[in-house]
Amino acid sequence: MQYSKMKLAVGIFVITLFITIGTFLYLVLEDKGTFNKRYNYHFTTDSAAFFSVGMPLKFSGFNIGVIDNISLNDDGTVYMTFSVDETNRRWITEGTVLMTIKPLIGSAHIEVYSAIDNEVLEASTELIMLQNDDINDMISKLEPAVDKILSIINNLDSITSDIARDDSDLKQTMQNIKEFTAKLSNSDSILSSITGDKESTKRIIASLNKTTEIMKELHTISKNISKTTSSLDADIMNPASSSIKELDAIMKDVKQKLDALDGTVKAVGSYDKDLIELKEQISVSVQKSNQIMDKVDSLMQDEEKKEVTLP
Amino acid sequence: MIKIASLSISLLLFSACSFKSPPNQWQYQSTTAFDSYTKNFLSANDALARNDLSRAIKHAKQSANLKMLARIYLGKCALNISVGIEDSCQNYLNISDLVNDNALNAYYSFITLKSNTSIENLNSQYKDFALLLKNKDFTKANSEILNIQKPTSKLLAASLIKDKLTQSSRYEMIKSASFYGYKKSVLFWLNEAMIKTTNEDERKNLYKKIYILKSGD
Repeated sequence: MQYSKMKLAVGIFVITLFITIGTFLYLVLEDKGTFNKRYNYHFTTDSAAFFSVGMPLKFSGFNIGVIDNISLNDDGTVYMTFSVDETNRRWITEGTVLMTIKPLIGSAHIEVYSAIDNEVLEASTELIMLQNDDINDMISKLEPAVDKILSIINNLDSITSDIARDDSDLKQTMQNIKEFTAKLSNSDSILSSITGDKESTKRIIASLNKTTEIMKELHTISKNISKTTSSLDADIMNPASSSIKELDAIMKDVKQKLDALDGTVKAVGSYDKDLIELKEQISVSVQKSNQIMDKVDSLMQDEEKKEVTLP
Repeated sequence: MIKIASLSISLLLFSACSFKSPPNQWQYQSTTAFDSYTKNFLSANDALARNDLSRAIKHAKQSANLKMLARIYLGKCALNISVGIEDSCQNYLNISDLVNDNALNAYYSFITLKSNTSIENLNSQYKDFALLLKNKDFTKANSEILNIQKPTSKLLAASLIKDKLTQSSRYEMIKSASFYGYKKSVLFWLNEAMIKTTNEDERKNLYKKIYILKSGD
Protein backbone atom coordinates (compact mmCIF):
# COMPACT_ATOMS: atom_id res chain seq x y z
CA MET A 1 0.00 0.00 0.00
CA GLN A 2 1.31 3.41 -0.92
CA TYR A 3 2.13 5.84 1.89
CA SER A 4 -0.50 8.38 0.79
CA LYS A 5 -3.18 5.67 0.64
CA MET A 6 -2.18 4.48 4.09
CA LYS A 7 -2.48 8.03 5.42
CA LEU A 8 -5.94 8.33 3.90
CA ALA A 9 -7.03 5.01 5.41
CA VAL A 10 -5.74 6.01 8.86
CA GLY A 11 -7.45 9.41 8.52
CA ILE A 12 -10.78 7.83 7.60
CA PHE A 13 -10.43 5.35 10.47
CA VAL A 14 -9.71 8.08 13.02
CA ILE A 15 -12.59 10.27 11.79
CA THR A 16 -14.98 7.29 11.83
CA LEU A 17 -13.83 6.41 15.34
CA PHE A 18 -14.46 9.94 16.63
CA ILE A 19 -17.89 10.06 14.96
CA THR A 20 -18.77 6.70 16.49
CA ILE A 21 -17.65 7.76 19.99
CA GLY A 22 -19.53 11.06 19.66
CA THR A 23 -22.73 9.36 18.53
CA PHE A 24 -22.38 6.79 21.29
CA LEU A 25 -22.03 9.48 23.95
CA TYR A 26 -24.98 11.43 22.52
CA LEU A 27 -27.21 8.35 22.54
CA VAL A 28 -26.25 7.46 26.11
CA LEU A 29 -26.93 11.00 27.34
CA GLU A 30 -30.18 11.12 25.41
CA ASP A 31 -31.23 7.81 26.93
CA LYS A 32 -30.43 9.20 30.39
CA GLY A 33 -32.76 12.12 29.62
CA THR A 34 -30.11 14.85 29.67
CA PHE A 35 -31.61 16.60 26.67
CA ASN A 36 -35.25 16.19 27.71
CA LYS A 37 -37.28 19.32 28.40
CA ARG A 38 -38.17 19.80 32.08
CA TYR A 39 -41.25 21.49 33.52
CA ASN A 40 -41.00 23.67 36.63
CA TYR A 41 -43.61 23.85 39.41
CA HIS A 42 -43.57 25.67 42.71
CA PHE A 43 -44.80 25.41 46.29
CA THR A 44 -44.41 27.46 49.45
CA THR A 45 -43.63 26.23 52.97
CA ASP A 46 -43.02 27.86 56.35
CA SER A 47 -39.51 26.42 56.73
CA ALA A 48 -36.79 24.98 54.55
CA ALA A 49 -35.87 22.48 57.25
CA PHE A 50 -35.92 18.92 55.86
CA PHE A 51 -35.78 20.29 52.29
CA SER A 52 -32.72 20.44 50.09
CA VAL A 53 -31.88 20.95 46.44
CA GLY A 54 -31.96 17.56 44.74
CA MET A 55 -34.53 16.13 47.20
CA PRO A 56 -36.71 13.67 45.28
CA LEU A 57 -40.46 13.84 44.65
CA LYS A 58 -42.02 10.41 44.67
CA PHE A 59 -45.21 9.14 43.14
CA SER A 60 -46.24 5.60 44.06
CA GLY A 61 -42.69 5.05 45.28
CA PHE A 62 -41.04 6.17 42.03
CA ASN A 63 -38.85 9.26 41.69
CA ILE A 64 -40.59 11.59 39.27
CA GLY A 65 -38.84 14.88 39.93
CA VAL A 66 -36.37 16.82 42.08
CA ILE A 67 -36.22 20.13 43.92
CA ASP A 68 -34.19 22.50 41.76
CA ASN A 69 -34.22 25.72 43.75
CA ILE A 70 -35.01 27.00 47.27
CA SER A 71 -35.37 30.71 47.97
CA LEU A 72 -36.55 32.83 50.89
CA ASN A 73 -39.56 35.12 50.34
CA ASP A 74 -39.79 38.63 51.81
CA ASP A 75 -42.47 37.48 54.26
CA GLY A 76 -40.19 34.74 55.67
CA THR A 77 -41.82 31.83 53.86
CA VAL A 78 -39.78 29.56 51.64
CA TYR A 79 -40.39 29.34 47.90
CA MET A 80 -39.40 26.08 46.30
CA THR A 81 -39.15 25.11 42.67
CA PHE A 82 -39.13 21.55 41.45
CA SER A 83 -39.06 20.09 37.98
CA VAL A 84 -40.35 16.97 36.26
CA ASP A 85 -39.56 15.67 32.79
CA GLU A 86 -41.97 15.19 29.90
CA THR A 87 -42.75 11.57 30.85
CA ASN A 88 -43.57 12.27 34.49
CA ARG A 89 -45.40 15.51 33.86
CA ARG A 90 -48.70 13.63 33.56
CA TRP A 91 -48.68 12.96 37.33
CA ILE A 92 -48.88 16.69 38.13
CA THR A 93 -52.59 17.27 37.55
CA GLU A 94 -55.38 19.57 38.78
CA GLY A 95 -55.82 19.04 42.51
CA THR A 96 -52.39 17.49 43.04
CA VAL A 97 -51.06 17.99 46.57
CA LEU A 98 -47.60 17.43 47.94
CA MET A 99 -46.74 16.03 51.33
CA THR A 100 -43.39 15.82 53.10
CA ILE A 101 -42.69 12.39 54.48
CA LYS A 102 -40.22 12.27 57.34
CA PRO A 103 -39.81 8.63 58.27
CA LEU A 104 -38.07 7.71 61.52
CA ILE A 105 -35.58 5.73 59.49
CA GLY A 106 -34.43 6.85 56.05
CA SER A 107 -34.23 10.21 54.32
CA ALA A 108 -37.13 12.60 53.96
CA HIS A 109 -38.88 12.94 50.61
CA ILE A 110 -41.92 14.57 49.05
CA GLU A 111 -44.85 12.37 48.14
CA VAL A 112 -47.06 13.47 45.25
CA TYR A 113 -50.79 12.73 45.57
CA SER A 114 -52.66 13.36 42.35
CA ALA A 115 -55.94 12.57 40.67
CA ILE A 116 -54.79 10.80 37.53
CA ASP A 117 -57.93 11.52 35.48
CA ASN A 118 -57.66 15.29 35.98
CA GLU A 119 -56.03 17.58 33.47
CA VAL A 120 -52.26 18.02 33.51
CA LEU A 121 -51.21 21.25 35.20
CA GLU A 122 -49.52 24.02 33.26
CA ALA A 123 -45.83 24.57 34.02
CA SER A 124 -44.95 27.22 36.65
CA THR A 125 -48.16 26.53 38.61
CA GLU A 126 -47.99 26.68 42.40
CA LEU A 127 -49.03 23.52 44.26
CA ILE A 128 -50.29 22.94 47.80
CA MET A 129 -47.83 21.47 50.28
CA LEU A 130 -49.10 19.57 53.33
CA GLN A 131 -46.89 18.93 56.33
CA ASN A 132 -46.86 15.44 57.74
CA ASP A 133 -45.10 14.58 60.93
CA ASP A 134 -44.63 10.87 61.42
CA ILE A 135 -43.36 11.35 64.99
CA ASN A 136 -46.59 13.05 66.15
CA ASP A 137 -48.57 10.40 64.30
CA MET A 138 -46.76 7.79 66.28
CA ILE A 139 -47.57 9.57 69.55
CA SER A 140 -51.27 9.69 68.66
CA LYS A 141 -51.12 5.97 67.89
CA LEU A 142 -49.52 5.37 71.27
CA GLU A 143 -52.28 7.15 73.23
CA PRO A 144 -54.75 4.17 73.28
CA ALA A 145 -51.94 1.93 74.54
CA VAL A 146 -51.14 4.40 77.30
CA ASP A 147 -54.85 4.59 78.27
CA LYS A 148 -54.87 0.81 78.57
CA ILE A 149 -51.80 0.90 80.83
CA LEU A 150 -53.51 3.56 83.00
CA SER A 151 -56.62 1.42 83.31
CA ILE A 152 -54.55 -1.62 84.37
CA ILE A 153 -52.73 0.44 86.99
CA ASN A 154 -56.07 1.77 88.32
CA ASN A 155 -57.42 -1.75 88.62
CA LEU A 156 -54.29 -2.88 90.42
CA ASP A 157 -54.61 0.10 92.76
CA SER A 158 -58.23 -0.68 93.64
CA ILE A 159 -57.38 -4.36 94.28
CA THR A 160 -54.45 -3.58 96.55
CA SER A 161 -56.42 -0.79 98.34
CA ASP A 162 -59.21 -3.25 98.96
CA ILE A 163 -56.77 -5.77 100.41
CA ALA A 164 -55.11 -3.12 102.57
CA ARG A 165 -58.38 -1.93 104.17
CA ASP A 166 -58.70 -2.81 107.90
CA ASP A 167 -62.14 -4.38 107.32
CA SER A 168 -61.09 -6.30 104.21
CA ASP A 169 -61.77 -10.03 103.87
CA LEU A 170 -58.05 -10.75 103.90
CA LYS A 171 -57.62 -8.78 107.11
CA GLN A 172 -60.59 -10.64 108.66
CA THR A 173 -59.14 -14.00 107.66
CA MET A 174 -55.76 -13.06 109.01
CA GLN A 175 -57.36 -11.92 112.27
CA ASN A 176 -59.16 -15.26 112.57
CA ILE A 177 -55.98 -17.19 111.89
CA LYS A 178 -54.15 -15.07 114.43
CA GLU A 179 -56.75 -15.73 117.12
CA PHE A 180 -56.84 -19.43 116.30
CA THR A 181 -53.06 -19.84 116.36
CA ALA A 182 -52.84 -17.81 119.60
CA LYS A 183 -55.32 -20.14 121.22
CA LEU A 184 -53.45 -23.13 119.95
CA SER A 185 -50.11 -21.87 121.15
CA ASN A 186 -51.48 -20.90 124.54
CA SER A 187 -53.06 -24.29 125.25
CA ASP A 188 -50.48 -26.84 124.24
CA SER A 189 -52.55 -29.53 125.92
CA ILE A 190 -54.92 -29.61 122.93
CA LEU A 191 -52.02 -29.98 120.57
CA SER A 192 -50.24 -32.50 122.76
CA SER A 193 -53.37 -34.67 122.72
CA ILE A 194 -53.24 -34.55 118.88
CA THR A 195 -49.49 -34.95 118.34
CA GLY A 196 -48.85 -37.30 121.19
CA ASP A 197 -45.57 -35.77 122.53
CA LYS A 198 -44.50 -32.32 123.86
CA GLU A 199 -41.55 -31.74 121.44
CA SER A 200 -43.82 -31.97 118.40
CA THR A 201 -46.26 -29.60 120.03
CA LYS A 202 -43.50 -27.01 120.61
CA ARG A 203 -42.39 -27.19 116.96
CA ILE A 204 -45.96 -26.74 115.73
CA ILE A 205 -46.43 -23.71 118.05
CA ALA A 206 -43.22 -22.15 116.69
CA SER A 207 -44.44 -22.72 113.12
CA LEU A 208 -47.79 -21.17 113.93
CA ASN A 209 -46.10 -18.07 115.39
CA LYS A 210 -43.97 -17.82 112.24
CA THR A 211 -47.11 -18.02 110.06
CA THR A 212 -48.60 -15.10 111.99
CA GLU A 213 -45.46 -13.02 111.37
CA ILE A 214 -45.56 -13.86 107.64
CA MET A 215 -49.20 -12.84 107.43
CA LYS A 216 -48.33 -9.52 109.11
CA GLU A 217 -45.54 -8.91 106.60
CA LEU A 218 -47.90 -9.74 103.73
CA HIS A 219 -50.32 -7.15 105.04
CA THR A 220 -47.56 -4.52 105.22
CA ILE A 221 -46.43 -5.32 101.68
CA SER A 222 -49.95 -5.04 100.30
CA LYS A 223 -50.25 -1.63 101.99
CA ASN A 224 -46.99 -0.51 100.39
CA ILE A 225 -48.15 -1.67 96.94
CA SER A 226 -51.28 0.32 97.43
CA LYS A 227 -49.26 3.45 98.23
CA THR A 228 -47.02 2.94 95.20
CA THR A 229 -49.86 2.52 92.76
CA SER A 230 -51.55 5.63 94.18
CA SER A 231 -48.41 7.69 93.68
CA LEU A 232 -48.05 6.25 90.15
CA ASP A 233 -51.48 7.51 89.32
CA ALA A 234 -50.99 10.96 90.84
CA ASP A 235 -47.40 11.84 90.07
CA ILE A 236 -46.40 9.86 87.02
CA MET A 237 -49.34 9.11 84.86
CA ASN A 238 -50.95 12.55 85.20
CA PRO A 239 -50.87 14.74 83.24
CA ALA A 240 -50.85 12.16 80.46
CA SER A 241 -49.96 14.49 77.57
CA SER A 242 -46.59 15.59 79.00
CA SER A 243 -45.80 12.05 80.05
CA ILE A 244 -46.57 10.79 76.56
CA LYS A 245 -44.05 13.24 75.18
CA GLU A 246 -41.45 12.04 77.65
CA LEU A 247 -42.38 8.48 76.84
CA ASP A 248 -41.98 9.28 73.16
CA ALA A 249 -38.52 10.69 73.76
CA ILE A 250 -37.54 7.68 75.84
CA MET A 251 -38.93 5.31 73.23
CA LYS A 252 -37.04 7.06 70.48
CA ASP A 253 -33.87 6.86 72.51
CA VAL A 254 -34.46 3.20 73.25
CA LYS A 255 -35.24 2.54 69.60
CA GLN A 256 -32.04 4.24 68.46
CA LYS A 257 -30.02 2.23 70.94
CA LEU A 258 -31.76 -0.98 69.90
CA ASP A 259 -31.13 -0.16 66.24
CA ALA A 260 -27.46 0.41 66.99
CA LEU A 261 -27.32 -2.75 69.07
CA ASP A 262 -29.11 -4.69 66.36
CA GLY A 263 -26.57 -3.52 63.83
CA THR A 264 -23.72 -4.46 66.14
CA VAL A 265 -25.17 -7.88 66.88
CA LYS A 266 -25.75 -8.51 63.18
CA ALA A 267 -22.26 -7.24 62.39
CA VAL A 268 -20.73 -9.52 64.99
CA GLY A 269 -22.89 -12.39 63.78
CA SER A 270 -21.88 -11.97 60.20
CA TYR A 271 -18.25 -11.13 61.02
CA ASP A 272 -16.79 -14.39 59.81
CA LYS A 273 -18.90 -14.42 56.67
CA ASP A 274 -17.95 -10.82 55.92
CA LEU A 275 -14.28 -11.61 56.34
CA ILE A 276 -14.50 -14.47 53.87
CA GLU A 277 -16.39 -12.30 51.40
CA LEU A 278 -13.90 -9.48 51.87
CA LYS A 279 -11.02 -11.86 51.31
CA GLU A 280 -12.64 -13.16 48.13
CA GLN A 281 -13.32 -9.63 46.90
CA ILE A 282 -9.72 -8.59 47.58
CA SER A 283 -8.51 -11.71 45.79
CA VAL A 284 -10.74 -10.95 42.79
CA SER A 285 -9.58 -7.31 42.77
CA VAL A 286 -5.94 -8.40 42.82
CA GLN A 287 -6.56 -10.83 39.97
CA LYS A 288 -8.37 -8.15 37.98
CA SER A 289 -5.57 -5.64 38.53
CA ASN A 290 -3.07 -8.32 37.51
CA GLN A 291 -5.03 -8.88 34.31
CA ILE A 292 -4.96 -5.14 33.62
CA MET A 293 -1.21 -5.11 34.27
CA ASP A 294 -0.80 -8.02 31.85
CA LYS A 295 -2.84 -6.13 29.25
CA VAL A 296 -0.69 -3.02 29.70
CA ASP A 297 2.43 -5.16 29.53
CA SER A 298 1.20 -6.84 26.34
CA LEU A 299 0.75 -3.42 24.72
CA MET A 300 4.39 -2.63 25.41
CA GLN A 301 5.84 -6.11 25.03
CA ASP A 302 8.79 -6.86 22.85
CA GLU A 303 7.53 -9.10 20.05
CA GLU A 304 10.95 -10.72 19.68
CA LYS A 305 11.37 -11.54 23.35
CA LYS A 306 9.59 -14.65 24.49
CA GLU A 307 12.22 -16.08 26.84
CA VAL A 308 13.26 -14.87 30.28
CA THR A 309 16.71 -13.27 30.21
CA LEU A 310 18.79 -14.43 33.13
CA PRO A 311 20.94 -11.88 34.97
CA MET B 1 -31.30 0.56 23.18
CA ILE B 2 -30.79 -1.31 19.88
CA LYS B 3 -28.81 1.64 18.56
CA ILE B 4 -26.58 1.67 21.62
CA ALA B 5 -26.04 -2.08 21.45
CA SER B 6 -25.14 -1.98 17.76
CA LEU B 7 -22.72 0.89 18.34
CA SER B 8 -21.09 -0.94 21.26
CA ILE B 9 -20.60 -4.02 19.12
CA SER B 10 -19.07 -1.96 16.32
CA LEU B 11 -16.72 -0.30 18.85
CA LEU B 12 -15.73 -3.71 20.16
CA LEU B 13 -15.05 -4.88 16.62
CA PHE B 14 -12.85 -1.84 16.06
CA SER B 15 -10.93 -2.65 19.24
CA ALA B 16 -10.66 -6.32 18.31
CA CYS B 17 -9.19 -5.41 14.94
CA SER B 18 -6.59 -3.18 16.58
CA PHE B 19 -5.06 -5.85 18.85
CA LYS B 20 -4.13 -9.37 18.00
CA SER B 21 -2.79 -11.69 20.69
CA PRO B 22 -0.32 -14.43 19.74
CA PRO B 23 -1.34 -17.96 20.80
CA ASN B 24 1.70 -18.25 23.12
CA GLN B 25 0.74 -15.04 24.91
CA TRP B 26 1.62 -16.65 28.28
CA GLN B 27 5.27 -16.79 27.23
CA TYR B 28 5.39 -13.09 26.43
CA GLN B 29 3.45 -12.19 29.56
CA SER B 30 5.72 -14.29 31.75
CA THR B 31 8.84 -12.74 30.21
CA THR B 32 7.52 -9.19 30.57
CA ALA B 33 6.47 -9.84 34.18
CA PHE B 34 9.90 -11.26 35.00
CA ASP B 35 11.66 -8.27 33.42
CA SER B 36 9.48 -6.06 35.57
CA TYR B 37 10.35 -8.21 38.60
CA THR B 38 14.08 -7.79 37.93
CA LYS B 39 13.75 -4.03 37.81
CA ASN B 40 11.45 -3.74 40.84
CA PHE B 41 13.48 -6.21 42.93
CA LEU B 42 16.77 -4.42 42.36
CA SER B 43 15.06 -1.04 42.87
CA ALA B 44 13.79 -2.27 46.28
CA ASN B 45 10.13 -2.00 45.27
CA ASP B 46 9.45 -5.20 47.16
CA ALA B 47 5.63 -5.30 46.99
CA LEU B 48 5.64 -4.70 43.24
CA ALA B 49 8.44 -7.22 42.81
CA ARG B 50 6.49 -9.90 44.67
CA ASN B 51 3.48 -9.26 42.47
CA ASP B 52 5.57 -9.36 39.28
CA LEU B 53 7.21 -12.62 40.31
CA SER B 54 3.91 -14.28 41.15
CA ARG B 55 2.51 -13.17 37.77
CA ALA B 56 5.58 -14.46 35.95
CA ILE B 57 5.32 -17.83 37.72
CA LYS B 58 1.55 -17.99 37.14
CA HIS B 59 1.94 -17.41 33.40
CA ALA B 60 4.84 -19.88 33.20
CA LYS B 61 2.64 -22.50 34.82
CA GLN B 62 0.14 -22.17 31.98
CA SER B 63 2.23 -24.61 30.01
CA ALA B 64 3.55 -28.12 30.60
CA ASN B 65 6.89 -26.95 29.24
CA LEU B 66 8.68 -26.16 32.49
CA LYS B 67 11.73 -24.55 30.90
CA MET B 68 10.24 -21.09 31.33
CA LEU B 69 9.45 -21.80 34.98
CA ALA B 70 12.99 -23.12 35.53
CA ARG B 71 14.45 -19.95 34.03
CA ILE B 72 12.28 -17.85 36.34
CA TYR B 73 13.38 -19.81 39.43
CA LEU B 74 17.02 -19.55 38.39
CA GLY B 75 16.66 -15.84 37.59
CA LYS B 76 15.14 -15.21 41.01
CA CYS B 77 17.95 -17.16 42.66
CA ALA B 78 20.63 -15.25 40.72
CA LEU B 79 19.10 -11.90 41.66
CA ASN B 80 19.06 -12.89 45.33
CA ILE B 81 22.73 -13.90 45.15
CA SER B 82 23.62 -10.65 43.36
CA VAL B 83 22.41 -8.59 46.34
CA GLY B 84 23.98 -10.83 48.98
CA ILE B 85 20.91 -12.88 49.90
CA GLU B 86 21.79 -16.52 50.47
CA ASP B 87 19.89 -18.76 48.08
CA SER B 88 20.51 -22.41 47.24
CA CYS B 89 18.10 -22.29 44.25
CA GLN B 90 15.94 -25.01 45.80
CA ASN B 91 12.95 -24.16 43.61
CA TYR B 92 15.04 -24.78 40.52
CA LEU B 93 16.50 -27.99 41.93
CA ASN B 94 13.00 -29.33 42.53
CA ILE B 95 12.18 -29.23 38.82
CA SER B 96 15.65 -29.43 37.23
CA ASP B 97 15.31 -33.16 36.47
CA LEU B 98 12.11 -32.48 34.54
CA VAL B 99 13.75 -29.76 32.47
CA ASN B 100 17.26 -31.24 32.05
CA ASP B 101 18.69 -28.29 30.15
CA ASN B 102 22.50 -28.13 29.88
CA ALA B 103 22.65 -24.36 29.70
CA LEU B 104 20.45 -23.96 32.78
CA ASN B 105 22.40 -26.61 34.70
CA ALA B 106 25.67 -24.83 33.85
CA TYR B 107 24.22 -21.51 34.95
CA TYR B 108 23.01 -23.08 38.22
CA SER B 109 26.48 -24.54 38.90
CA PHE B 110 28.06 -21.20 38.08
CA ILE B 111 25.94 -19.04 40.40
CA THR B 112 26.16 -21.54 43.27
CA LEU B 113 29.95 -21.81 42.77
CA LYS B 114 29.90 -25.54 42.11
CA SER B 115 33.21 -26.97 40.95
CA ASN B 116 31.63 -28.97 38.11
CA THR B 117 30.53 -25.92 36.11
CA SER B 118 30.38 -26.69 32.41
CA ILE B 119 31.93 -23.50 31.02
CA GLU B 120 31.12 -24.30 27.38
CA ASN B 121 27.42 -24.32 28.18
CA LEU B 122 27.55 -20.96 29.90
CA ASN B 123 26.43 -17.70 28.30
CA SER B 124 29.35 -16.13 26.37
CA GLN B 125 29.53 -13.08 28.65
CA TYR B 126 30.42 -15.30 31.63
CA LYS B 127 32.81 -17.74 29.96
CA ASP B 128 36.07 -15.82 30.56
CA PHE B 129 35.07 -14.87 34.07
CA ALA B 130 34.08 -18.46 34.91
CA LEU B 131 37.41 -19.72 33.61
CA LEU B 132 39.33 -17.24 35.78
CA LEU B 133 37.18 -18.26 38.71
CA LYS B 134 37.95 -21.90 38.09
CA ASN B 135 41.69 -21.10 37.99
CA LYS B 136 41.30 -18.95 41.11
CA ASP B 137 42.85 -15.97 39.33
CA PHE B 138 40.93 -13.33 41.25
CA THR B 139 43.08 -10.36 40.19
CA LYS B 140 42.17 -10.89 36.55
CA ALA B 141 38.63 -11.79 37.53
CA ASN B 142 38.32 -8.33 39.14
CA SER B 143 39.15 -6.62 35.86
CA GLU B 144 37.11 -9.14 33.84
CA ILE B 145 33.98 -8.14 35.78
CA LEU B 146 34.33 -4.60 34.48
CA ASN B 147 34.26 -5.95 30.91
CA ILE B 148 30.84 -7.51 31.38
CA GLN B 149 28.36 -5.26 29.60
CA LYS B 150 25.03 -6.22 31.14
CA PRO B 151 24.63 -4.42 34.51
CA THR B 152 22.75 -7.27 36.28
CA SER B 153 25.36 -9.79 35.07
CA LYS B 154 28.15 -7.52 36.27
CA LEU B 155 26.56 -7.28 39.72
CA LEU B 156 26.03 -11.04 39.86
CA ALA B 157 29.61 -11.83 38.87
CA ALA B 158 30.95 -9.37 41.44
CA SER B 159 28.81 -10.88 44.20
CA LEU B 160 30.26 -14.35 43.40
CA ILE B 161 33.74 -13.15 44.42
CA LYS B 162 32.67 -10.47 46.90
CA ASP B 163 35.37 -11.41 49.40
CA LYS B 164 38.11 -11.33 46.74
CA LEU B 165 36.98 -8.07 45.22
CA THR B 166 39.16 -4.97 45.46
CA GLN B 167 37.74 -1.84 47.09
CA SER B 168 37.89 0.00 43.75
CA SER B 169 35.83 -2.77 42.12
CA ARG B 170 33.27 -2.43 44.92
CA TYR B 171 33.02 1.28 44.22
CA GLU B 172 32.58 0.44 40.52
CA MET B 173 29.63 -1.76 41.50
CA ILE B 174 28.18 1.06 43.62
CA LYS B 175 28.57 3.44 40.68
CA SER B 176 26.98 1.05 38.22
CA ALA B 177 24.07 0.14 40.52
CA SER B 178 23.50 3.82 41.38
CA PHE B 179 23.35 4.73 37.70
CA TYR B 180 20.48 2.27 37.12
CA GLY B 181 18.78 3.08 40.43
CA TYR B 182 19.21 -0.46 41.78
CA LYS B 183 18.83 0.52 45.43
CA LYS B 184 19.12 -3.01 46.78
CA SER B 185 22.47 -3.50 45.02
CA VAL B 186 23.66 -0.05 46.06
CA LEU B 187 22.94 -0.83 49.72
CA PHE B 188 24.58 -4.23 49.45
CA TRP B 189 27.78 -2.89 47.93
CA LEU B 190 27.89 0.12 50.26
CA ASN B 191 27.66 -2.32 53.16
CA GLU B 192 30.38 -4.54 51.65
CA ALA B 193 32.65 -1.54 51.14
CA MET B 194 32.00 -0.39 54.72
CA ILE B 195 32.82 -3.81 56.19
CA LYS B 196 35.98 -4.29 54.15
CA THR B 197 37.51 -0.83 54.50
CA THR B 198 40.22 -0.14 57.07
CA ASN B 199 39.85 3.63 56.86
CA GLU B 200 37.68 4.92 59.72
CA ASP B 201 36.57 8.11 57.92
CA GLU B 202 35.59 6.12 54.86
CA ARG B 203 33.64 3.72 57.08
CA LYS B 204 31.78 6.64 58.71
CA ASN B 205 30.93 8.15 55.32
CA LEU B 206 29.69 4.84 54.00
CA TYR B 207 27.62 4.28 57.14
CA LYS B 208 26.10 7.76 56.75
CA LYS B 209 25.20 7.02 53.13
CA ILE B 210 23.54 3.73 54.08
CA TYR B 211 21.64 5.48 56.88
CA ILE B 212 20.39 8.19 54.51
CA LEU B 213 19.29 5.68 51.88
CA LYS B 214 17.50 3.54 54.44
CA SER B 215 15.77 6.40 56.28
CA GLY B 216 12.21 7.15 55.28
CA ASP B 217 12.58 10.97 55.37
